[in-house]
Parts: sequence; structure tokens; C-alpha cells
Amino acid sequence: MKKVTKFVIISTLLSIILIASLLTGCQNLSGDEGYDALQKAIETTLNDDNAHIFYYKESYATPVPNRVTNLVETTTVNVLCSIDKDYNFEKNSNAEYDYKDLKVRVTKNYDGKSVYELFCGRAEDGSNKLAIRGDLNRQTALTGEDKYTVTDNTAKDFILNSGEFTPYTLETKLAELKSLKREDLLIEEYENGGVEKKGNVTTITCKMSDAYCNRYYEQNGKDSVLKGKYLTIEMAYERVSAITVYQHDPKAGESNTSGILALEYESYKLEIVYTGPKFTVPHKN
Amino acid sequence: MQLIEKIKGVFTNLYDEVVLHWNRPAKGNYVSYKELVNYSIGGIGRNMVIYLLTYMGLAASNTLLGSTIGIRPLHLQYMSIISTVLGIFFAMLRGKLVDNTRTRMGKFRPYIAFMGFPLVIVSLVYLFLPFTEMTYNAKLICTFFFATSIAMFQPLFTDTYTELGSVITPNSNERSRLLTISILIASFAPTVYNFLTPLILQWTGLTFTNINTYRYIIASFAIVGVGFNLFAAFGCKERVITSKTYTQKVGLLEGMMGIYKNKYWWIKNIATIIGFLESSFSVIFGWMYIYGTQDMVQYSLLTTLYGTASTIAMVITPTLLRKLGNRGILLFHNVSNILCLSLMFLVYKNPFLFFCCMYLNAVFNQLQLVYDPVLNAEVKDYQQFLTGKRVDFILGAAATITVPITLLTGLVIPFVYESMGITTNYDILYDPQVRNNMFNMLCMLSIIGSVLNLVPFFFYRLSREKHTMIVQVLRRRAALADYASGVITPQQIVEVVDDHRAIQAVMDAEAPDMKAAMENLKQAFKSKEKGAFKNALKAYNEARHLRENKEALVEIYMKEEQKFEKPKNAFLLQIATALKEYSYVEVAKIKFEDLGVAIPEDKQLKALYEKEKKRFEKMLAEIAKVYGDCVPTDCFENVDAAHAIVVTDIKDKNAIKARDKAIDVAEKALIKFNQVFNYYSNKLELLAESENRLYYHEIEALYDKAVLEVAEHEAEIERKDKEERERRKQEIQEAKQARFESFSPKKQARILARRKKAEEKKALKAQNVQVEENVDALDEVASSDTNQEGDNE
Repeated sequence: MKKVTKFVIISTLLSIILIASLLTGCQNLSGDEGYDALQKAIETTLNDDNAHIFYYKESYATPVPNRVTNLVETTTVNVLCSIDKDYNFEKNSNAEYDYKDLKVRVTKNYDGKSVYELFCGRAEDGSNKLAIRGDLNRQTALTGEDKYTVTDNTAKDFILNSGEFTPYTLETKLAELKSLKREDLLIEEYENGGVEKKGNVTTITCKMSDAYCNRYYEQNGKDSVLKGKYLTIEMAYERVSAITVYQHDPKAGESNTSGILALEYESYKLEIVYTGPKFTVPHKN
Repeated sequence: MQLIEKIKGVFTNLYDEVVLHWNRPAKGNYVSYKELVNYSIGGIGRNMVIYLLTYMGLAASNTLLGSTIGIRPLHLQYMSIISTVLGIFFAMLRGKLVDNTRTRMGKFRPYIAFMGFPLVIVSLVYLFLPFTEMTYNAKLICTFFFATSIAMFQPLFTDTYTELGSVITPNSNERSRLLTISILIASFAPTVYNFLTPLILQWTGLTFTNINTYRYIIASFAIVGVGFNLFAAFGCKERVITSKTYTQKVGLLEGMMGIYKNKYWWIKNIATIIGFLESSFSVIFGWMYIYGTQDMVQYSLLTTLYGTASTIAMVITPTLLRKLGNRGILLFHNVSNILCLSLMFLVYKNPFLFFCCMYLNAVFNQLQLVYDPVLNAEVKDYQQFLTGKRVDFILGAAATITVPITLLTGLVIPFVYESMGITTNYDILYDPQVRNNMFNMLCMLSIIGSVLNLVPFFFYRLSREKHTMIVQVLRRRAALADYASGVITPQQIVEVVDDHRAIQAVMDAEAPDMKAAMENLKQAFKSKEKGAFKNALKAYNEARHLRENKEALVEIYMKEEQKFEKPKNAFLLQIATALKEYSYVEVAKIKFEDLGVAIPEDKQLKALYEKEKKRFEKMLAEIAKVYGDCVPTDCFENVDAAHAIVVTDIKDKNAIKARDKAIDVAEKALIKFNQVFNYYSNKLELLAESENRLYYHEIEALYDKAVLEVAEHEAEIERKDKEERERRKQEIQEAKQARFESFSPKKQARILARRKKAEEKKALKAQNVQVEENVDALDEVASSDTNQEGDNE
């Protein structure tokens, strides 16, 4: 019994040490370190060799009076190419966007309904230079009719030359984040702010400064999407992986709770990964 | 051809048997085939409902709550912790609810019938929430509310089905046969939905990360399942036979404290606790297909194939257990796991090779499906050997002591997920670099887990030889007690004397020289003589068996023999002997000092004296509090009387209610009485055990007579069995004839013609065989003649 008792104690202690060492793997960084990490992440995201292949979901939420749920507008963009057995993106040449089997898919949802769909790339019937795009207004979305327009265009041409893809590029999406100065981010100044590093993930929780918000409004004539109660910027593997902006829920009135019971909503959310789900380009006319 | 005939015969007999006993069970049985089919279909339904409910479970690997809805892995684990704590209270509530259910349908069937609907409806309400428009906090709160509600009430649906299986028949042989068949039929459900779901996904273009998969596909299976489940609820019966003699129940706390002295129980639990990382790899295969290859057809086929691993394991386990022994199979299983996981670590980039390793790992893992119940039963027997009390349910309840550690260790894997990039967006797994990093880490954690899981089993020394000796000791205790109360059977006498003689033989045998046996084995191996090695191996195994028996002798038999020689037990016997002089009523009026037990001088015994005094005084206080001056004397009789109440009109609800209430009140009074007088009863039991030992020689004197009686009894059973077999054969023939006569004359003629043709064919075949044999014999004679001529020349 004594041997077993010793064994029980030793094994319990070992388990506790193992768990404790794993759980203490997170550390808090300073605001400056967080800002530097962000700059480096934007740099890697935009200039990496494989930065052209990505998949993101962007959503805007707006509260609607007399309605329980918010009005949500979502855009997903998936730029995909074939991958070799070593998990590298296959290229035809070193030219920009000259990937093998390059495909693009853009979809837009408005208030839970599909309103826009665009495909570009080699279709599932194998035909080349096929670009299909569809504008679905709310009516066609309801009736389920697909109205595609087929154009003689490769995915590479579409991305580089048509100009239609410009609003969907990562450069466009991260332009505002790239332009931020250190003093625009209130990290230490915001009461729940901070920078946490947990393994391969670094998260900045901060608030945008009033000076930045005013400056943005003056320059662009509209509010910045980053303006809100606070925002979190998440970086995984030294690349930007998520931006979430929180607003105080107007339906909550004067109530100002925090934590899990906080009456707030996510007014803007951008989630980026660097390879998306597979899809096929339809060959309908 | 003979084999085909045999198989045909087996199926014909099976068909006849099923037809004959479709509505009416066979003699000695309680359950008809119709009821068995109903129970099995209910099992299919239950599994289909569980398919949906599993996706409502708070786990970081859950593709619905994590990948699809986007709840962070650590948040899922935090919610799981709260849910587990709440679960402890709900488990008590559920136990009280079910134990107090007495309806016309029975105790369990109402829950089987009516709990499936609300569970599926609550799941559907959750699935159809507008997640895209909800904030993260709203999603979190809703998930917690719905998942916890389901977790709290799900056992009322799932466990009651299992309980129905335990009361569907009082015949234990029939029950085990019935459960085996129903489990086999019910396992058809996972085979089907695991195969169909990925195929439907491929066809519809949906994925496991799309909410519509759960809303329309998985929920559909659950809805069909609720319907199937009704077969068990309305097509089965509960057959509870209450015992005339009421056995004293073991208190929960008392039972748990006893279990904590059981080292083998600890070893098994510690292995589970410290091996928590072993299952880390379990998500890899699913993620590989959902986010990697995205080939759902291949996934569907491989998942179906994966299900066959358990069948292989079930077939090979009995042989392995016999060859390797308890500790051997535990070590074999865990070492094989380490090897398989190491292979997985090397090949995780190749889905097919990974599957092969995972399949192999599953075969080894599923060995425990068979050996775990065997080892658990042995641990329970060891518990009974230690404390003298049989515990079954409490063994599980005692494991709650490990819950805080399990909750803490449960945080590790979600933490790893988050630090590897999985927060609210599981789509990061589409990135092959991230995915492979994750798989790499999870394989490593699994290997660490399996190594930690292995270590405790090096200390597991409950061999089959020890278990055999435990059973012999338990049989001896029971036989001695039965002899004292005059109810010993000849069978018991034969067993207990045979056991004693076998133990004596081990005791007299010379200790084996293991070194020499090993040396012989090595020499035989080097000599490369097949026969020599076989003999040396046999000798080595015999020596090992004897060594194990000698060890068992020291740890089990000698311990039992010297139990009352220990100063502690001898002192407790003194108290018990003094207590025996007082009845239940009298003991309530005395003081501990009145027992006349002198305060020992030994320090440890003095402490024991004080402890016993306190326990005695606690009992007195409890008696005064519960009964005052009026200690009841009729608790046992009241329970028997309540059970004996006969309700003549089964439609008389009031009479049934009154009887149920009387049973309830009497049982509760008896439980309370046992709780209050627990100290006194335990001491009397201890004294009886020590006194009963004196009867062994009296039992031994009855041995020869008992052997004759047992032989006669066995011959009688054999004769009855033969008669029963003949009777059943006759019944089947009659049923066949009756079926034949129910057909139209035209059909009868057709059947007769077919029979005649078959007989003719058979006769012709027999004739051909005879001719062939004759030809062969002639050839043989001819060739031997030729040879002889050649020799002569």
C-alpha cells in the first residue's frame, strides 16, 4: 500500500506540474510590443510569397429598432489554387498570380440571404478561360434562379487587370490597419486593454483614440470601421487572423455591464485564413 | 457441400425457433423474439437520437459548437466544467426521480417513451437560432443554456434504456444473450449514419462546418430515431422480482471510504487521470477530411470500415487475456497504443497511412471493451474481500473524487487548440501548414498521454491466480455463514473443501526456481530443437503459474487466515463480543464504558479505543434523535409485509397506489434503521465472521456425502435438459406440421414434390459417392498388385 500511496502522490504532482507548465504558456506583452507585432504581422500578411492566396469573411452588423437580431451583411472571398503533395501552392511561372488552377469565389449575404455570387477560374467541365459572375438581387435569391453571365476571362486577368477585384484584396482590407500609428491605439489607456501572447496567437485588445477617429472622418467623410467601444486584433503565426470591433448595444440603454454579460455587439468582423475550402466553378450559362 | 447443408440447417432451425417463440417465450425464458426485436429497434432509435445529442455536447472537438458556430475551445471547456458540477446535483435528482417512479408502464419505460421528443425539440430549437445575426456573447449564453439542459436530462432517455435491459428478464443467462443480440442490432444505426451522412454531404455540397448539415441531415436521423425508440417503450416489459429477504444496503459514504483502500481501483483510475492526453489524436482524422482532403466519399467509406475494428478486438481479446493474463493484457494494450501513435506521428501527412495506423490503434483500444468488464468485476471481488461488502454502483460514485482533477486536465487540450491558432475561426485549419502543426502537436501529446497511461499498470498485480484465490476465500466465507445459519448446500460443501485442498497443495509445493526455468528456456532456444523448447516453455509457464499462486497465497489467503490475529482486529472483536450481549433496544440505553472493554496500553490501540468510543456515542446520539426512547423492532417484518400485499384488481389504481406507498414507507424506514444502527450491525457481522471459522472441520466431515448428492443432482439436471431438448424438438415439428396444414392443397402438393425431389437428389448423391469410393478402392487394389509384381520381378 505504501508503494501505491507514493506512486499516487508522485503521479498527481507530475500531472499538476505538466498542466501548470502548459497553462502558464501565456504571457502579457506591453502595448509597444503589441504594436510592433501588429506591424510585423501586416508586413508578413501582405508581402509573404503566398500572400495572394487567402480566404476571408467580413461582416458588418447594424442594430435595427424593434428587432431582436441585428442586420448583418457578410462578404466571403476565397482565392484558391492547387496545392502539391508538400503542401506548397503550385505555380506555372514566377509571374504574379500565375498559380496553377487559380480560382476566385466571392459571395455576399444580406440579412441572411444570398445577394451576390461571383466565380472565376476553370469550370468543373474543364473549359478554360471561363469566368462566371452572377448578380443576385433579393428577388432572384428568393426564387432560387441563378442569373450568371459568362465572360471570356481567366482568374489571373480578372484579379490583376479587371479592377473589379480591387475592393476584395487583402491590401484593401488591411489598408486602414496598416496606416495606424502607435498613438492611435489606446492599449494601456483602455481599462480592459492589453496584449496577450498564447503560443502562436497574439491578441491586442484596445480602443481607437478620438484623435484618430476624428482624423479619419475628416479625411474620408465617414466613420472608421474600427471606431467603437473597443476592438480586438488577433494575429496567428505572425499574420493577421481576425479583427473584431465591439459597440455598445443601443437596446441596452444606459446599462453598461461587462464580461460575458456585456450588452454589446460586433459591428465589424474580419476573419482571415490563408487557404480556404475547396470549391468548383459551375459551368452553367 | 456438407458445410452449406450445415449452414442451411442452422438457419432453418433458427427460423423455426423464431417463428415458434415469436409471441411466446421458450420455457424458462421470459422474453419473446418479438419483444427482443422491439428492444433492439428501440436501441437503433436511441443511437440515432444520440447521434444528434452528441453534437450538443460541450467539447472542444465538437464540430457543431466549435467549427460551425464558432465557440472558442476554452470557453467550451469552461462551460463543460460548470455543466459537470451541475451534473452531480442533477444526477441525484434524476436518481430520486426514477427511483420514485411507479407507473403502470413501469419505472423506466415512461422516460424512454417521452424523453426523446423534448430532447430532439430542444436541439432543433437551438439549431434553428439565427447564429449569423447573433453576437458572440449571445451565442455563448444560448449554447450553455441549451447544451447544459440537454446534458442534464439526456440520461433520463439514454440510461433508462440500459436499465430496461437489466429488468427485462430476471434470468441472467437470458439477459446476457438478449443484450448481446440487441447491442449487435443497435450498432447497425451508427454504421448506417456514419456511412450515409458524408455521402449526403458530398452530394449536396454541404460540409460538417455548415449549420444546415445539422439542421436537416443529422436532425432527420434523430427524428426517425425518436419514432424507432417507441418500439422499446411500448413493445417491452419490465419484470422486477423483489426478494423476500431484504439485504442490508451499503451506505454511500461507507462504501466509498472502503473503495479508497482498494489499490487496484486506484491504479486503474490514476491511469485514466494521468493518461488524459492520450485521446488528443481523436480529432485528427475528422479534421483531415473536413479541412484537408475534403473528400467525403472516402471519409464515409473509411469511417464505416473503422467500425469493424471493435469486432476484431472482441474476437481476439478472450485469447489474449488467457495467454497474457491481466497485467499482461494491460501492458500489451498500452504498449501497442504507444507504437500505433508513434506511427501516426510519422505518417499524419498521408490520410490513408494515417487511417491504417488509426485502425490498428482502434483494434488495440477496443480490447478493453471485453477485458475492462472482466477486470472491473475482479476489482469488485477484491473490494468484497477487503471490506466484506459487495459494491457495484458505489464503485462508479467513488470515481467522483477524481472529477476536480479531470476538470482541470480537461483544460489542457482546448488550451493547446487556442495557442495553435484555433479561437473562434476553425477555418484556420484549411491552411495546411497550420493543420500539420496542429496534427504534429496532437500526435505528440497523445504519445505522452499513452506513456503516462502505461506507467501505473506496471504496479497492477491482481493476477488471475490472485482472483481465483479471492473467489475461493469469498466462497469459504459465504459457506461458513450459511453453515452457521443452517442453509448450506451440498454444492457449497464440495466447493469449499475442494478449494481448501487446492490451497493446501499450493502451500505444500516447493517454491519454483524461476532462474533455472529461464535458463532452461534459453538453453532450449539455443539448441533449436522444437520439442525441447516447447517442453521448456511449458515448464517455465508452470513455474510462473506456481509462483503467482504462491504470491496469491501470501497476499490473499494468509491475510484472510491471520485477519483476526492482528491486534487491531482482535481489539475490535473484544468490543463486538461485548456488544453481542445487548439487543437493538438495549444497546440504545448503555454507555461505551458499560461494555467492559479495558483501555489498552498500546498507543495505537488506545487511539482506536477513543475512535470506537466516539463512533458508539455518535450512534447513541443518532438513535436518540431519530427514535427517542422508542426503538422500532419490526422494520424487517414491515418490508416483507408490504411486499406481500396482493392487489386483486389490477385496474384499481388506489389499491396499487396504497401498496406502492406501503413498500416505499417500509423500505425507507428500514434504510434509516440500518443507517442509525450501522455501527452495531457491523460489529455483529465481524463477530459472526470470526466465530464461523470454527465450523470448517464440521463442513469437511460432510464432504463425502455432499459429493454423492452433487453427482445425483447433476445427473438429474442432465436428464431434465435432455427431456426439454426433446420436447422443444417435438414442438418445432408440430409447428412445422401445423404451418404445412394451413397452406392450400396446391401449395402442399408443391412442397411435397419439392421435398421428394430433394430426397431423390440426396439419394443419388449418396449413390454417386458410394460408386466413387468403390472405384477408388478398386484402383488402390490394382496399383498395389502392380507394385507387388514389380517387387517380385
